[in-house]
Amino acid sequence: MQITSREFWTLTHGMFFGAMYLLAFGGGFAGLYSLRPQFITAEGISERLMRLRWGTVVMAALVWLTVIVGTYVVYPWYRAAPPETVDKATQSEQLREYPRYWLLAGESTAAWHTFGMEFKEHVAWIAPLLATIVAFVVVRHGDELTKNEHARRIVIGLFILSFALAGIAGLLGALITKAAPVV
Amino acid sequence: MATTTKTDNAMSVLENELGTAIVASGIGAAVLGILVVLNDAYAAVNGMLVWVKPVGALSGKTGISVIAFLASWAILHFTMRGRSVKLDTMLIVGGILLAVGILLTFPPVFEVFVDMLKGGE
Repeated sequence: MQITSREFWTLTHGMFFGAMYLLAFGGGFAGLYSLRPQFITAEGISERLMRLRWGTVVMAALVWLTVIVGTYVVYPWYRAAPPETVDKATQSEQLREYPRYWLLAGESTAAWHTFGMEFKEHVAWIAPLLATIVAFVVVRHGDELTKNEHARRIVIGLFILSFALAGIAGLLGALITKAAPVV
Repeated sequence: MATTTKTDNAMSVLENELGTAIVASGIGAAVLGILVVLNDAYAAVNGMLVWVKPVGALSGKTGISVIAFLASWAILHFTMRGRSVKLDTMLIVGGILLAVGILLTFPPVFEVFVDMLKGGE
């Protein structure tokens, strides 16, 4: 049971950093949603805010790490071009080492790149922008968020959008890896 | 009275900083979306966006969008400080920019714009 270094980094990108971010969403959402004086005591809010501040900062760090490792470590392996001696139009065993080209060589697999990867590689980068502003507002204005329902709903909305975009990228990544793994 | 004023100020700062942050994230997203279109439409733009060769143009597209996000956030944060701005207005502006950015990263959408730009050549 061995994994290559490329598989290790692909797992780190998707199953560690990415998955941890997505899993943490539930706790973050519950924390933000329950940040109301009518639901919990002042002591409870104080305790919850401390966790939320740490939690949103860690989540922002996780999603930045996800996109950075994905783009600068895994993506070059995915998009690497095969040598001239390898036929780019046939899905051969040799071409399998070049996932992007392998996918494009098949009629039934080309869309995994032209749609799947082309969408995922870009939309994923919007998730950390949103996660960062959520963390910023929670850290700086956590106390005020408990009293300003409108602002809190907006922050929750941004948090959900960040999760949704990361989720789309994660799902597409898992399906693309299934079709053409980086080996 | 002093307590109420302090609370009002805190709320005003929260809404101001939340609003500017939303607009900044929208700018970052919109810049990314526009670069996705321009990169595919013009070979010269593609060449300028290859900052890290193994990563290709994705390095420039995302690099510029992150710079745009951070720079616009810093500018907006300090220039809008102390000003009375409606949070909902900034939410609408930021929301539209975010929507533009997300839509332009969606291949069926950006390909339409790429074809339009290429067709105009």
